[in-house]
Amino acid sequence: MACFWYYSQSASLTAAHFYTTISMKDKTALSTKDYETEAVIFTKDQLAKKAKNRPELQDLSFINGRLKRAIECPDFVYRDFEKPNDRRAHYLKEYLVNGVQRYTKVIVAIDQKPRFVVTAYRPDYVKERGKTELIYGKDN
Amino acid sequence: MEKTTKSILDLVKEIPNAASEQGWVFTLDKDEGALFYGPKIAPKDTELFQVSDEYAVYLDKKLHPRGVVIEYYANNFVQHHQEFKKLNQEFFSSSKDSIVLEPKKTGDSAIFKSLLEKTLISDAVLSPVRDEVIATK
Repeated sequence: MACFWYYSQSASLTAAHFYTTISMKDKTALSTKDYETEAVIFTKDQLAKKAKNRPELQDLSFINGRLKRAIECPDFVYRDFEKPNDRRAHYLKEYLVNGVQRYTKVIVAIDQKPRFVVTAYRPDYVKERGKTELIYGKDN
Repeated sequence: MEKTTKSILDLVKEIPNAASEQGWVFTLDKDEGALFYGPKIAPKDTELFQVSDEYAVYLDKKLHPRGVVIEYYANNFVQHHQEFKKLNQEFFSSSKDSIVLEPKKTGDSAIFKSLLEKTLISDAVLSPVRDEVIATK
């Protein structure tokens, strides 16, 4: 799959506008293919559930930009800590500030088709490092 | 570029006051396995900073805490902090995917709140992943 970087021009939304926007008829907030060319979806129901506690998901430009790219072209992928056979943690490097690397992290459930996004956020730490198997890319 | 720095310990010590002033609640997301301690709707314009291997905090641009996330709460955090086991069963044994607990001023939920806040501080003292956080404008 060709990996190219792009940004959605969508503006950030207020929380109220966000919940209005995602209540549209279409049930999918994002539909794409991962680095193994398997279909991956992020449903609007799941997005609404997760956005309450994950402020990153209240920004639609994040969903259509970095989150999408982390699914399609991650820098590295670990098995999930809690469900290692059923879920994967995709990491995309964002930027390095003051020696600290920030990532986009997307948890993808792979135990059904299409694969689906469980949640996503922007940590500055790789929780799975040294704990679960690195299954794609290089974590360095 | 203007830099603001704050020690990990200083920011973690702000959590109890921030929680009381902003009415933080506990949300156990069983699907994700994470315990969130923050406002019912997480505020925007915050960034996640890891404090210890166990948890991270959402900080606003002035580096004030706006929420706490304990990833893999039941399968990791509680295993390392057995004192939570009994209270955890009391509050979070429902089969629902997401359980919200609003701490009260007295009773077991107040004990849970106090115990968690103390544990967050002790983790930051004993096993921080860094000494300070830096925000740039």
